[in-house]
Parts: sequence; C-alpha cells; structure tokens
Amino acid sequence: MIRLSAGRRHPISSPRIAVAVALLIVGGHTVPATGSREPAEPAPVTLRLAMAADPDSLDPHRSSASMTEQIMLNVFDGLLNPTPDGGVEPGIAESYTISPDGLTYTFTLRPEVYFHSGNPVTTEDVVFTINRLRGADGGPALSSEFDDVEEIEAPDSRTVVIRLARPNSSFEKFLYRAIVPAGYYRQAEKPIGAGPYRFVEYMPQNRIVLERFDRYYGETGDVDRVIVRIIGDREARLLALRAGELDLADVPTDRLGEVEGQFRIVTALANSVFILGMNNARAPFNDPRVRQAISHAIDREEIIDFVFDGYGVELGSSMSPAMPEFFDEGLVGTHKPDLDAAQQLLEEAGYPDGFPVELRISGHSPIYTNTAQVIQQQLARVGIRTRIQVIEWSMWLSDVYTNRDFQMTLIDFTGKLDPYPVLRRYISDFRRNFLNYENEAYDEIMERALRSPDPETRARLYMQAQEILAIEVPAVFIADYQFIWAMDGRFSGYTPYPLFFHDVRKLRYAPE
Amino acid sequence: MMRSNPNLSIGLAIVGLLALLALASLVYTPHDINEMHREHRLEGPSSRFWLGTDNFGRDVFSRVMHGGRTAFFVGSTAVAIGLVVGTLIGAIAGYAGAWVDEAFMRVMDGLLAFPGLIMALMVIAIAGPGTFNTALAIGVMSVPTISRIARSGFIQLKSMDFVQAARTIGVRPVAIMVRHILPNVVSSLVVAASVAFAAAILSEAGLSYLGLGVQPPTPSWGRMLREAQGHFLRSPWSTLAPGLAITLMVLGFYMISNGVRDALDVRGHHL
Amino acid sequence: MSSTYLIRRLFSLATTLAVVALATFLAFEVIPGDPVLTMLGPDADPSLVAAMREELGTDLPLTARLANWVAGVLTGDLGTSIRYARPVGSLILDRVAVSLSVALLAMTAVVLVAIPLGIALAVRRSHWSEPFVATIIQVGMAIPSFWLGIILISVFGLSLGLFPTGGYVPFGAGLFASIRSVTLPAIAIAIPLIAVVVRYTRNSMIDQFSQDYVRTAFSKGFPVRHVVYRHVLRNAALPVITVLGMIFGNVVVGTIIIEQVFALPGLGLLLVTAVSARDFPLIQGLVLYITFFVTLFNLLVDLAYHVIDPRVELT
Repeated sequence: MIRLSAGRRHPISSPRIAVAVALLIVGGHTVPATGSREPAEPAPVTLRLAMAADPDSLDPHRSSASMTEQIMLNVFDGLLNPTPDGGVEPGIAESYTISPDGLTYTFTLRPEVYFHSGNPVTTEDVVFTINRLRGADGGPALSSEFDDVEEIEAPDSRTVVIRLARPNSSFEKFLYRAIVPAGYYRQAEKPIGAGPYRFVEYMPQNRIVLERFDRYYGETGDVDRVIVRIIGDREARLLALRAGELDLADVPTDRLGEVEGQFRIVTALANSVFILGMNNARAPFNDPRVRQAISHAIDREEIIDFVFDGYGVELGSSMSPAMPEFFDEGLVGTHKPDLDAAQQLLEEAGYPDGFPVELRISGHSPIYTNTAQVIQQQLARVGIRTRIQVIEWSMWLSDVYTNRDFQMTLIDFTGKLDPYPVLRRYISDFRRNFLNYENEAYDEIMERALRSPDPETRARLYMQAQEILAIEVPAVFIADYQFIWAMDGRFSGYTPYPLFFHDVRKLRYAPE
Repeated sequence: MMRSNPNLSIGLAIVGLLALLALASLVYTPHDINEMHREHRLEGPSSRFWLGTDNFGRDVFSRVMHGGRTAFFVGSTAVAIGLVVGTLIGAIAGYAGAWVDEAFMRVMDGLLAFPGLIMALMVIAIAGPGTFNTALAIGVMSVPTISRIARSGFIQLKSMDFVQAARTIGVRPVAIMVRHILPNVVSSLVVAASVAFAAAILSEAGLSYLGLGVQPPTPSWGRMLREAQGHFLRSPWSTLAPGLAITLMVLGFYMISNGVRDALDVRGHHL
Repeated sequence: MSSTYLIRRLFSLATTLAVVALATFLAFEVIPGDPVLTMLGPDADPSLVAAMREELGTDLPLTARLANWVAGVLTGDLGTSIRYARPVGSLILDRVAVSLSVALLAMTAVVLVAIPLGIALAVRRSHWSEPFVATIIQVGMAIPSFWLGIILISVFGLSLGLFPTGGYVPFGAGLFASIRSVTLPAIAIAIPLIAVVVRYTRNSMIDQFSQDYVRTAFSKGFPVRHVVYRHVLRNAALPVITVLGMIFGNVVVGTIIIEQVFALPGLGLLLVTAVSARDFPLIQGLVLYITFFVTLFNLLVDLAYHVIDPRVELT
C-alpha cells in the first residue's frame, strides 16, 4: 500500500485495476487518488505529449494530415499495420495472400478482434470500410487509393477477397487504412476503431485524451492514458516540456542543449523530402541547365547546418534514406556545390549575369523562412538575385500549389510507406505535379513500376526514376531532416516509423 | 512658448539618435546586414559584433540600425496615409454634419472594430506582402482615430464666429475648411500624428511578429524579435536589442507628442 | 436619458455590425485560400477534397453563402466551423472564459494600481519627482506588451518556475491554478495600460484642480480631502472611465499576440487559427462577436458619462 500526501491527488477515471504490480511505486505526476484503507489501485500511467496542430478530422477516412495520423493511428487498426522499417504486417487480418497476377488479395480475419464499442470486427465491417473509401456505399469516394478496386466480397465469416481491376503494387501499403464499424458515420465526433487506444475526448486547441483499450487483440504497453496537448507554438511546446508539463515533445534542433541530460532523446529521420521547387514550365527554369546550375550553387550542407543544426542528411533525389529499400546513396552529390560549374551552366543557358527570381514560401514554419534566407545568400554567389516573398500557408496551397503561380518555392513533403506516392509528384499529368515537370520516359517507368507485381523489378524501376530526377533537377532535393523527440526518462521504447506515428503501445514505463 | 520642455527635448533627442543610426545605415553598417557567419551563431556582444549575432551569425547591431530605417519608413508612410485620409474624412464629416457625418462615422466605427489582422491580410492579398504594403495596412488602420480627432475639431470650429463670418460673406466651403479651420486643428493633429507614429511602430512589430509584415531578410525589429524569441535563453541579446529599440522609438514619439501638447497647453502641467 | 437616443445608438450599433460582417465576407472574396485545401494539406486526396467541398457548400456563390449566413444569424445560429466541425457559437463561448479571465485580471490590476497612483501623483505634486514619474510612465506605455511577455516567461516561468510558461488551466481544474495560468499574460497586458491610466487619472485630476470651483473651494478653506473626494474625483472620473471602457472593450475580445506568445487558447488565438484555416463561418462569428463587444463598450462608456455627469449631453 502506498501512503499519499494529501496534496497530490489525481482522480482515476480508468477502472483498470489489474495493472502490473510493478507500477505500484508511483512517481511524479501519476499518483492514485485513494488515501483510504481500500487496497491501493495501481497508479495509471499517463503519457502527456504535445501535438502542433488540431487534427484535421478525427474521422480516419476524412483526415490527411500527418499530424493527425501521428496520434490517431493508436486508435485505429487496419487489415494490415505499418512496421517501423516501412513495411506492413498483419493487423486485423491474421494472414493474407496476393495472387501471382497481383489482382486478388485474400485476407483471413483474426478472431476475437473488437471495436471500442464492444462489437466484434466482422467481414461486414471490412467490406463497409473499403466501400466507404472507394465511394461504393452511396456516398462520395473518400480516397483515390482504392480506385483500382473492382470488387470486394466476403465468402465466409472470416475471409475477405478484394479484386483489383489492374495490378497496383502500392495497394498493399494502403491497407493500413482504418477499419471502422459498418454503418457508423459519427467518426468525426466520436471515433471508434479497433486499435490499442480508445478515444475519450477532444477539446479543440486544447487536448485529445485516449485510454488503453483492454480488449485489444495484441500486446499493449504500459501507458494507460494518453493526454495529447495541442500547442501550436513550438516555443511554447518546448517550454511546457522543460517545465515538466509534458512527457514527450518535439525539440527544435538548436534547442537540444536545453533538454539533453534531462530527457531521453530520440532522433529519427523524418522520411521527408525537403525541396527547392522550381516552376519547370516557366523561363528560365524550363532550361535544365539553369536548374542544374542552381543545384550546383546550393550548398546543402550549409543549409543543414544553419537550419537543422546539422541534424539532417543531404539528398540527391526524391527519396529519403528512411526508405532503405528504395534509397540510392550514389545519387547524393550528383550536383556538388561548385560555383564554377554553376556559372558555366548559366552562361551556356544564356544567363551569364544571373537573373532576378522570386522565392514564394509559406510562413507557417521557420524552416522555410530560415532556408530561404540561406538560399538567397547562396544564389547571390552566382548572380541570381532572390526576392523572398512569405505568404500564408493557405495562400501557398491555393496560389502556389494549386494554381502553380510561382517561380521558386520551398516545400517539405512528408514521407509515405510506399515509394509510388513519393515519386508520383513528378509524373507529367499528375494533378499535384505543381512543378510542371514533364518527362515521358519518367512517366513510363513509373507506370511500369506501379503495375509490376515483382518486388525486385519494382525497386529497380523506382531507382531508375530517381536517377532521372537527380540529373534533370525538377527541384533541388535538399535534405531530409531529423526529428528530435525528448521523452521523460521514465518512459522508454520509443519506436520511430517512416511515417508520423507515436506508437504508444510500444512504450515502457519504469518509475524512477 | 519658450520655457523648458524636457519632454520635447528628450523625445527629439531619442528619435534624433535613432534617426541618425538609421540614416547612417544608408552608407555604413559595421557588417553587411545579410552576411551570415556560420562559426559565430548566437554570440554575445563582442568587439567584433557589438550587440552579438543572431541565429545565422548576422550582426545584430547592423540589423538594428537597418531595422530603424524600416521603422521610420513604415511609421512615416502609415502616418502620412492616416493623416491625409483621416483629416479629409474628419473634415468632410465634421463640416457637413447631418447624414454625411453619420454615414462616415458608422464606417469609421466599423473600421475601428474590424480586426487589424484581417485588414492586414486583405491589403497583402490585394497588394502583395512587403514593407510598403505593411505601412499601407497600418495607415488604413489609423484612419478612424485621426478622422475622429479632425472631426471634433471641425465641429467645434465651424460654429465659431470667424467661420460664420466667412460663410456669410460667401467664402466657399472648401476654402473655409482649408484656410480658416485647418490651421486651428493642426496642433491637435500633430499630437495625434506622433501618437500614431508610435502606434504604427508597435503595429509593425506586431504584424512582423506574426509573420505578416516586413519580408525577410529585410530587418524589422518585430521580425528580429520573432526570430530571436526561440533563442532567448541561449542568447538574450538578440531579443533584448530589437525590443529595446522598439521601446526607445515609441518612447521618443510619446515624449514628442507630450512635449508638443505641453508647448500648446497654457496650463502646462500634464505628464 | 431619452429613449430615442438609446434607440438611435442601438440602431447605429446594428449598422456597424452589418457593415463589418459584410466587409469580412467581401474581404475573403479577395483573400486567396480554400478551407478544404488548407485543412487537408498538400497530401490531400482529390476524392476527399471533392467530397468535402460538396458537403460544406464552399463552392456556392457568394450571395447564396451570405444569404445562408444571415438567415442563420437572425435565428441565432452562427453556423458550423469547418475546421472543428462544431457549432461556431459553442467554440466562441469556450474561449470567452479564457480571454475574459485574462481581461478581468488585467483590468483589476489596472484599476487597483493605476487609479490610486494617478490620484496620489495629482494630489502630491513635487517638482523634483515629476520628470522622473513622467519618464517611468512613458517608458511603461512604450514597452511592447509581447516583448514584455517574452521576458516575463523567461524570467518568471522558466528561470524561477513561479508560473506556467503558457497554456490555460480552466476554472474546473482549480481556481488557484487557473489564475496562475493567466497571471503572466495579464501582467504583460496590464503594464502598458497601467501607464496609460495613471497618466489619464493624474491629468484629469489636475485639470479639475485648475477649475474655478476648486480654486474657490480651496480659497474658502474647505479641507483638501473634502474637495478631492467630493468634487474633483467625480468630475475627473469621466475621461478615466472613457479610457477604461475602451481598454476593456479591446482586451475582453482577446489579444492576438499575447495569446500567441503565451499559447493561451483565447478568442485572439481562435481568430488567428480561423483566419489561417479560412474557416469562414468561424471567422464571421468571431468578427461579429468582437465588433459587438468593442462597439457595445463604447456605447456603455457614453452612457456612463451621462450617469456620472447628467450635464453631459447625449447627442
């Protein structure tokens, strides 16, 4: 039994009693509320972490922000679940097979999987989910990832068969999308999934609360309760962490010194591709020599030093080393910093004295404003006179990203589990090819890679595609930076993923 | 009135000093304001960098000097816009009275209550971001206050004997407003203008702090504050310098406005 | 007070609201940005974008949206926030508590500190201290409150650990903790305002001292105390109340930058978020709310004038 000081009472809302006895020794902020003669309840372990923005939607099928996924992947399970090395593993599906022609996917559901509502997950729910996503439930399609699905059926109570109209090698990686209860349309208000944590409450610009789901089929960790505080300002997040108000938060690279020693530091590549985008349809960027000259003029290492304090890796093409299967290290340094080479390429292209250019960036992250100022200095060395124009994020999304009205811009694309969506951005007729890059050979390679059922052929094709990008420079591929997470020392086992995911289930808790 | 006026002299001294620094930056700064020093990031004051360096290793003192230029430019442009438009509206509303007055003043009330943030965004959306457009947004926001001051002056004066007299002998309204009334309102407009100048500098700092004002890498004290805020503990200097600069500049203009008022005020006892 | 005056003022309040609401609507016709794109970000699935646009009716023409909104407002429904998928009214109400507690704390400090100080400075005037006091007051007015906020956080939040560095603790989680969470922002807001109010109070008192009636009272030998409290204060209160009313009207609707610096989820921060998310229903609701309060406080100030000094004409 634990003796408690009167001033440190915290209510327990979770009725869990059977937590490991080891947790009885309480530390810090997690103290049981009882002070009476009743047997002491084990202290619930609360993880308090920070999130930089409100979720775009709690409905997993109506959300596309990686920030949201970072938290809500704890609430939902898919047929398959993501793995830390960028693959997928069986989730709600206990096992699955893909036919040799790549057209038929057969899933066997795991028995005894429950939704947070208490209902078991059935084939009906799986069919409902896929149909909802592809717009076959009477509503509009919510995801184009399922466009290739021709038919879905459940031949028996544990089997689901999905047939594709044509092979799609990315399809497997899409199957981590949340499985939701059939006929339940209130996910945005009260999300119900089958993941290890159930949703408790959400207060906009304040917090999200999750609690461990006791009937989760898999192993759950030590954390009983998750409080996600929504703190938009990164300064405020860091201050809250240092003041002991948070257990887990991101730390700007230049502030690492303030938390080292006091916290457990986890670093991981963000699996993002940070680019200096150029409008390939507009002069002078329609000339590859100009783009190559700029690539030579940019000193990536200097940017990494100034903006990420060295916590980043240089890129040579549109792929992060966080995707080892598809990353080609040989492409890094295709265009080394070389002012003479840059100058010569500019002369060949007819711009011996450089040219004025406008760099339109979004002001929502200091990464962009900082990098822009470094790039301005670097480009000035070859006579390219950059005018920086900072606009709001929503203006950037509509003017630059959608209407393609820009000369140069900076953007950091977050990673995906599959290389196709990462490289698709440069396909000529892709609607989000906002850089207006056009290359038939590239388009063809990408199409073949997408339709190829053979993993090795596919990997080889994706490498070829990257090589084209490295040489042609539709954008200067600058860097993938590292995330730095500072975690209270009582927690351990943080597992980084190549997508945004705080996997709470894997965390261990040991009081000091 | 030639008695000693400490407010006016101190205020003019502060503003004069800052103006001198800003003017000097046209021809000389200790360092290039945009030159980055990778090995000297966030350093404290030294003989080489008098006020230390920022997160790019740029010289804070040089940037504060140049920031003064930005502040004077934004302040004077905004005040000019506010004065011209505000006085015009105030004069018309005050002189004409009746429904004209009512209509103008309702619009001014609306403008006064309209969030400055949206106003600034609108100006940026129409005219694009930049230093001049920041000044434009701030100038528009100062119109309601100035127009109210002008209006009350015009209302007061239009019933005065000399105005009535001018009117009866057939002087045209525009001439009455410009020749007879305006000179008598000028003193209160001067006070209002120096207060508006101080307010403009605070607004610029605020907008730039929110990332909506002056564009990088042009130094503005508000932007410098925003960029330095994250490094306060490691390098308090980079926050203190622009913060102090803003405070001094605003203080200078407040003192001038009080000094001017003292000079015009017979009783001369106001703080 | 004539009721026609009141009716006229209320009518003009309504006009102002209508003007501002319309201006906001038109403003976002000019300002680029799309709520659905902004919410879903660069990785938005095209199918999802299309589905949500359809659902939210953001594709409707301006007149239809305006008509819908006006119809809603007239029936007391401010609509549903796009970003938060919740009623705008309840989102605003949630934030009022935050902004209001900062405002009340700041105003309490202003009234308790500034008015006695202003009176004291007016009653006991000495030549040697005056320039000194004047300078302090003017420095106080000149300090940008957000810079003050940054310094307060660093010193009292971080170095001394006396106050939280940011965020808001609701009343429900303990009154003391709640007040503590808004103390630093309230101080940051209050200091420049204290300087303003001290100055107004003092100057207004001194103006009264030079009035004939006060001189007469003094010359007739009335005690200073009596003159000050019976007559001067009452008359000097007018300009002070004006200033207090205007300040309160501005503070109560939230302070964008201070809320940003202290990560306080108040009305100011909500407006910033709403604007950057292009959450039109929320923006409209907030602007309406803010305008209403600012204008209402101006009206109340004018009425207070009349109550304190019935000689003041209500025109």
